[in-house]
Amino acid sequence: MTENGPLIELRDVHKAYPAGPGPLPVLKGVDFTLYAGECAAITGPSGCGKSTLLNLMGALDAPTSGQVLFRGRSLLSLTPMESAQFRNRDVGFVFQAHHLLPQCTALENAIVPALVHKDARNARERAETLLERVGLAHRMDARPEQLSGGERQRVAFVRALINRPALLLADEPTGSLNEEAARDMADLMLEMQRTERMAIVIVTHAMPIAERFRRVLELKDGRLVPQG
Amino acid sequence: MTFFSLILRGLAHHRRMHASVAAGTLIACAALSGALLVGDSVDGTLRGIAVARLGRVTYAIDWGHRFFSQDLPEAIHREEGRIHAAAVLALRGIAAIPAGSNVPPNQINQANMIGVGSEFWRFAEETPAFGALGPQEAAMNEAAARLLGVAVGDDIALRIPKPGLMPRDAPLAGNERDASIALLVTLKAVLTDRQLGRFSLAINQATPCNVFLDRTWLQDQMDLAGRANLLLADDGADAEAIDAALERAWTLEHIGLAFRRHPSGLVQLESSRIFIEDEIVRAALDVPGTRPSLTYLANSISKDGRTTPYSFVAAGGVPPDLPGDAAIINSWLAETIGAAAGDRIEVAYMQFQPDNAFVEKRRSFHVSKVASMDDFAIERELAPRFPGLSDVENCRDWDIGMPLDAERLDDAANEAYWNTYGQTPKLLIPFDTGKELWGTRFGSVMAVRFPAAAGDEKELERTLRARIDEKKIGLAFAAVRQRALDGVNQAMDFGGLMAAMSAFLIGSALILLGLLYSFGLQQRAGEMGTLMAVGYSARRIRALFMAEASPSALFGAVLGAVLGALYGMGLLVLLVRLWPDSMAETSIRFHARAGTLVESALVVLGCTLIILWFGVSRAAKHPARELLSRDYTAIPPAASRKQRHGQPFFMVLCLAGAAALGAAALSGAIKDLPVAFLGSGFLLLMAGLGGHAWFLGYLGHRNTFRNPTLWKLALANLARRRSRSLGVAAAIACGCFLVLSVSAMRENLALHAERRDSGTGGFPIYAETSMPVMDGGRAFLKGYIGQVIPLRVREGDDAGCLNLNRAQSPRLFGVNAEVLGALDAFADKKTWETLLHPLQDGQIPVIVGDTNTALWGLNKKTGLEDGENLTITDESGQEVTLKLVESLPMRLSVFQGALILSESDFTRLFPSESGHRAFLIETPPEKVHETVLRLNREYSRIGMQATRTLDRLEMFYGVETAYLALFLVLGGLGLMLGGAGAGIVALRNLHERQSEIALLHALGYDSPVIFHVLLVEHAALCGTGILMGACASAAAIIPMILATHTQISLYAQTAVFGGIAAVHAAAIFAALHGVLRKIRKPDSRPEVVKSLESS
Repeated sequence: MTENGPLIELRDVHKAYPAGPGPLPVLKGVDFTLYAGECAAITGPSGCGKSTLLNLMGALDAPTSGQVLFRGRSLLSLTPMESAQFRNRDVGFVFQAHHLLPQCTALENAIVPALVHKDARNARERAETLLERVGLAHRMDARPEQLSGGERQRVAFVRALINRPALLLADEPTGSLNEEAARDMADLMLEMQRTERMAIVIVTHAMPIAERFRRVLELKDGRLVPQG
Repeated sequence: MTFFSLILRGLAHHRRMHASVAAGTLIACAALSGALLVGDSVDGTLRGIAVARLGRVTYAIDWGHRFFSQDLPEAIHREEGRIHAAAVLALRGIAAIPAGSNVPPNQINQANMIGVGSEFWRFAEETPAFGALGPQEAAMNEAAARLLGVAVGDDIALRIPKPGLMPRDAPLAGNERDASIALLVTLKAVLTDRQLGRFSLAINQATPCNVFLDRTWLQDQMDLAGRANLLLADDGADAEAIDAALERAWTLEHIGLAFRRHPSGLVQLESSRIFIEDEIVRAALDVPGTRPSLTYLANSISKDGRTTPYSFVAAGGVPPDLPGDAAIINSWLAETIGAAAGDRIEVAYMQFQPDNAFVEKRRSFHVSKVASMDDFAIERELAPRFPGLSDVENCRDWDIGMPLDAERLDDAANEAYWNTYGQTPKLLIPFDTGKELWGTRFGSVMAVRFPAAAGDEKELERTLRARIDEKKIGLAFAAVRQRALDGVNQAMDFGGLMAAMSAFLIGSALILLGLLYSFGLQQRAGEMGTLMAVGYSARRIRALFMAEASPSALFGAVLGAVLGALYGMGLLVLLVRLWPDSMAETSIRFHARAGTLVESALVVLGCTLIILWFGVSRAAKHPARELLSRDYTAIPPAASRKQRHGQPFFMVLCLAGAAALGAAALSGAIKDLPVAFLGSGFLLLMAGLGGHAWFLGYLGHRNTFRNPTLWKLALANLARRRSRSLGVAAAIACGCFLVLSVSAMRENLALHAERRDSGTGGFPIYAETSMPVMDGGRAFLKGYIGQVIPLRVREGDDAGCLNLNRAQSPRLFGVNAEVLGALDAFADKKTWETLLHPLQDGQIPVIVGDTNTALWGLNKKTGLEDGENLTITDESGQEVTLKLVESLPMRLSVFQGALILSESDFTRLFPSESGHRAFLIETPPEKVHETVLRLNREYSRIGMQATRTLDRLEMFYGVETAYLALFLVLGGLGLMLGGAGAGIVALRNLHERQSEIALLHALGYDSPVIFHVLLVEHAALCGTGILMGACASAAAIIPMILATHTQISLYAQTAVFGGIAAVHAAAIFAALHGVLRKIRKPDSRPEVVKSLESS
């Protein structure tokens, strides 16, 4: 793979889940390419397979058939350890539910992915910087239950960025936020994308959010269809 | 922030989860360490008892009914100054409160009468204050004094069977066969264990009843001046040195042998026991020119109608080339019956039978020579001295232990012969012929004559001592202290037994721990998924969670081990309280080994960590997206979908195994029926669980119900979390199976007690006497209706359940196998016949008293082919191999703890064990109680202790009952934990389904309906477990009952079953009630809304 090649590429990806008498197909031949520093929003109705698609890109799930390539290397070829390393170094996840560790403060939650490298000191500095940048300088020592929904989501966002990933995968990051907080979150993501020079794939069913990203695709009948 | 601080944060935040880990580990560890500490305590107590009963005694020579000189210890000490040795005269007898005493009448039938000198007390840890005992003074140990109810200064009546130098059963032994000596002594001291009050060589924790007397005085009373039968030595020298000292020290005189020199120069070797032991004869006959001699009393010697009664015949003393039927007669006899050389004469004599009876037989001899009375003088001068014969003046006063005809005795000519010639034999025959006619199990040589050329007495002594292997006459020290410690070391592993009994409790605690931890993990699924999503590998996540849980497990294990000590003390109290009276008097002192605490903590910690590891690994197997869904347990992992296909195969395999095991047990291929049937039942249980797993799988993957109802949907809920449902059902089923099966082992002994094939043999009364009864009980039991089976008894270690030590030399019963076989008593004829067939290599066939003795007491296999051997020492000190060819087929019999051998083998091995000391007595059922009272009253003089055989069995069964009761207590605790587990599962299910319940409520279902639906679901969960356990248990128990004629108590079984069901029902009901109470409330709307919102 070269620096100019795609960051992530999906080739004829199919995914079906076992259900009842036979498998239930969700993705039916998805093709998708994203280059470093690019942004894309994927929309679609509830249950169409958006989250599944994101999970495949983040090596949280494997396709039934087809290829998912990251920098030209198939994610299917990764060992479980390599897969974990991939998620830790190359990808950042933001979920609709923030999934913060309840026992840790905001700052600690942000640092958790960096503990894998045993580089806590640098991670702490970066986490403090990032938390300041997302407006949580005064909330660093707060625990998840002491934070608002928007604040939790920002902590989760900082956690996703802590290891400087090349790709940020956000699954309905604004789903549980009110309109204003959702807009702020989207602004934040785009700002960070510029400063951190990372690619973003965001899954959302909120068109106003999706439209703020350069590429918008709709997942329809198991396939990605470009919008507008 | 470091990985370590992340662990600490998790530990603090999820403290409830970790508290449950600590609590589960604590319970399991306390149960295990408590159980093992019971083992430590029993072991420590037995060790203490072993030391207390021996004091400093380390080696001993126990000659039983034979006696040696009391000078032997001194001789040994002279050879090896480091050794302190003492001679003891140890007898058994009866101790009683004398008539007219102020103390209430009482009697101890099996008291040890121990005649000791002052040197004996040097073996005690603490020398008694009295210094030495004098005539008519006694000291008793605390147990005996308490049992008899006497204190220092009280008088005690003793009755002791008078031992003869010659076995009482032997012909010409004298007729004082039932002789016993009554003595009156005053109690001078009551001895503590430290003062050697507990002294005994028997490997048993039961306290003996000891009466210590002055040895010299006791010897005088018993006509055994200077004789002793027990030689004790301390550990002043090692085994090799003490053996060497003994070898140098002993003389022929010490062991009752003496030379008699005849003026002709001939030297005769004689024994104070009349008969000379084979080893000594062998050594003596190695000297050239030596001849053995045997003297017997013939009933008559006749020729052509002329006869003389009661004449001594000497075998030996004839030229060696004389034919077997040749005889040399004296001139008096020749004249009296008119016989001359060349004539045939007939000798009538009493032949001694193995059962001690005498039968008159006849044998004719060819007179080869008539010798003068002077020629016979040497025979008179060297004639053996028979008690009750050699020392009386008239024939009419003869008292020789053989039936004598008074009419024949009244013969004037014979009387004149006796007055003139005394014991001079009238007839000399070849030794081999005499041995053939009159040799008995007591021996066949009464004297050995050495020619003058063989040397003087000193030279002969040196020659003989050099040739005699003293070990073959039992003159060898046994390492009694080592034997005692071996008995403790090889004793039943109480720690193991208690741990096995606690296994279900420990298992339940660990299962509960696993359950609670897995619930905690479910709550933390999102956390785990997040870590996975941010790049934590499954291994790192496992390490993180394990590192978080381990301190809790460690804390629980350490605290559990400490609390286990308290629990162990409680178990000990319970155990001793449950033990039958005969064992409860053994006070088990609490002992705790630090190693046991550490071991149990490590074992439980290991188990806990494995369970935690399994739970974390199982959770971490799920992909992050499933973990992030927070309900990963409802999603079966891919592997379990494959497993579903293996379940029918597993089920069929288990069913086939169960059938095969059951068939093998019924066909007799497997001897241990309970184990076989329980194994078969367990396989059935496994098959049932396999079927249940398959059914849950089916429910989980089923299509829509054709006619869905709320109840069907409730059942389908069970399949949502299949492993949880299966786990709970399996735990309940296993517990139910164990408790029901084990509780079914409680037998009703009375139901088949009258049957010949029961443990009573169909005999309602069993009696033992302190004094041997010489006529097989025929005389004293006259008037009792039914058969009386006399039994010979050789005391030994109790190998039954009442003895906590491992028996080294078990008690032996000598029985008439033909009689018992003909009655089919206890076992069939074929079994009894195994005692009558000689085995290769001189092994003696023996039957073990019952299967419990074989399995637990001896822990040895039985069988004609593959039966194990046991080595014991016979009366002469020779090692004898007993082969365990069979065991009586029932679990319990009146012979528990003993080995049974044929009477002929018994009397051959132990000829001095005179008479019978145990009896099986038949009497009509309505007269049993009255007969027992009568026997005990009328025969208290001989120390008779008659009991109902059923009572004897109940006494043995008391131990088993105690263990069963303890198991039920521990099993009950386990079941309570299981019930708590079921309740927690119910709570958890309800908690997870609060929104579902709220929805039903919102849809208009009223609380009772919801309650019933949930009750059906959870009742099905527990009911399946209970039903599977009960069915498997029934499948195990019913064939066992049919095959072993065991009768269980249906009432008790129903109570146990009801108890199990009630515990689980209560737990579930409480859980359902607690959760639904909120919804039932009229103001529950906010709860419903909250639940619906959270969904």
